Amino acid sequence: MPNQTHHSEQNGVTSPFATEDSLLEVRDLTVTMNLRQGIIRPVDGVTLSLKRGEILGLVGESGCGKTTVALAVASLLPRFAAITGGQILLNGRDLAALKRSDMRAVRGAMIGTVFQDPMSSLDPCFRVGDQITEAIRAHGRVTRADAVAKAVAMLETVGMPDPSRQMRAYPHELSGGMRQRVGLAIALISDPMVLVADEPTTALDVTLQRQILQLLQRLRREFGFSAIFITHDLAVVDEVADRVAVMYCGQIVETGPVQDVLQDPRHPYTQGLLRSMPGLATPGHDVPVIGGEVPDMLNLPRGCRFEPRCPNRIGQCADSLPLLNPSGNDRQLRCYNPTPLSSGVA
Amino acid sequence: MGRPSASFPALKAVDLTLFEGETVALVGESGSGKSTLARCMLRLVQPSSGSVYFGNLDVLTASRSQLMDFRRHVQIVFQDPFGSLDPRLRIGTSIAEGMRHLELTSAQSRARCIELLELVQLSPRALDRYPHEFSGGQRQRISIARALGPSPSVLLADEPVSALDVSVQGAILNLLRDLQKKLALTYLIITHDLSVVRNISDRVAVMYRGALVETAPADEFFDHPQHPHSRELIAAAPSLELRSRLHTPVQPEEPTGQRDTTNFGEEP
Repeated sequence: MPNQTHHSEQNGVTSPFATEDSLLEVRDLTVTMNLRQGIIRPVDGVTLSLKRGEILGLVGESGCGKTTVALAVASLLPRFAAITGGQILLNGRDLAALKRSDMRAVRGAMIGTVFQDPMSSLDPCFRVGDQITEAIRAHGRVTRADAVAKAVAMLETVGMPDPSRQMRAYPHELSGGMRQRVGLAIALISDPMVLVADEPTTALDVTLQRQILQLLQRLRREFGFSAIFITHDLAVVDEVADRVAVMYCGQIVETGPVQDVLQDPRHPYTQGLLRSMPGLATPGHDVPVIGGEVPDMLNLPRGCRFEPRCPNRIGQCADSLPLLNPSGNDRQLRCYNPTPLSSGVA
Repeated sequence: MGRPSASFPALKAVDLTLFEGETVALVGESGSGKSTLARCMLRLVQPSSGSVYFGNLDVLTASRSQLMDFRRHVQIVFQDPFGSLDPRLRIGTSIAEGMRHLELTSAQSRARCIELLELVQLSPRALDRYPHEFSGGQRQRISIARALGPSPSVLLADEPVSALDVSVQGAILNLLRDLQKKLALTYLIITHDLSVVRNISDRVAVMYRGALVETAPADEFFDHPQHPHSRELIAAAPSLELRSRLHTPVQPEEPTGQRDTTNFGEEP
């Protein structure tokens, strides 16, 4: 589908935070999907910016569109989906305007990806070492011997024990954590500017998750990439990210430095998400769950999408969609009636 | 009990007692032996030595009929609701499967299924639907409903919420708590997630490489963990780390008595 510029009074925000620091800017991005049940926009006017060297946590529940954002940025959208609005600017160049075929070259060199299931980027039929060397040779004229040496070095960098021997392993012979390390190695082999990591630690045991998150931060310091880290878990974002963007129903509802947003969440949805964490609830007592349900993407409210479930709702919330506006201190908020958490909002 | 194999024992001299009405969290990472222990408790795996008692019944040497009776009293709910619910069967059929031994008429069975769905806060309309039509949280509720069919007194839950978004986990934990009070259940929650343990357990038992390395009441466990692996697990839990860093409590100190308000019943 051709890229149609889609301007909407309701959704538009042109990156007030765009600075020379911005490496990747997503501006009013819209992705449309043709499903059997109808046409939906899982990403509906998303604006984000990723600064050089930072890790941005993109947080939201399953179905909010965060993975679709990742796929759009990495140009891995399925055939039934297409970018129908907005821009994805990497170093000023609009990736959304590229043809799929041109994007392949850009993607590998500039954007690396890691997914929750490492097997989605690992071929079960080939040894791990061969897959890494293949990735190396795809990005430059390198002799096989040099590629192998580089691959071993990369495995060591990602913390793989006994890297030379593991080169000969098949993916199924490795544990989940080791596969994820291989996934990271492949993603970083071309020294990309941006790493898109979609729930990379969700399926891992907790101590392993901690190791992978620490590894990610170390690699970021060593390689200098920026990363978008996607997860449904605010606590993980707290551990790994510098800034956070909270997503609901295809849109960003709040952004800001991680510690600020978690200490002082302003959007009622962010507050609800925080409160719904079992680890933060009073032990032995019920966990406050966000009431109601996520709206049907085929039948979205006219106004704010969180309004039906929102404890703060006021008259205008149902009538019109609030804009994502600056809210002080490098923060943004899409809400007509925020109140601070400590004032005891139910 | 112990179960040595050629390479290393899956379980080493594990002693664990589950008292009536309590919730014990069996905590450990992959390979710790927690799932093996659960299977031994259900006699799905025969240990090389040791015993399992359910009241006066010696489970490991029980007769076939005694074992069948035991298995009705002690039910298990698994982590992956999609895996344990046959995708080709309607929900009603899946739930009724667990109650075949009761030899109910189809009307009685349907009534009982509706009752079970109500217990887990799902609409009777769910009976005629298929697993794929439900969210992860709803499928977990269905698995719980099915496990409750034979009116068990003990429920083993193997990673009951790990496959769910954090925001939905609370609803299932609240449900388990509610059911425990209503039905006088005893729980063994098997998990690696300490935030779940923190919210729902009375006692904690930690497994590491096949051995039970620590047992303690929950508060004591989190305030003064003794074993290095316990400390490692607690330290690695992101939400507990976050909890200690947040200056304002996320909830008011006095519980508001706010119950689970998620409305699953209307639109599955």
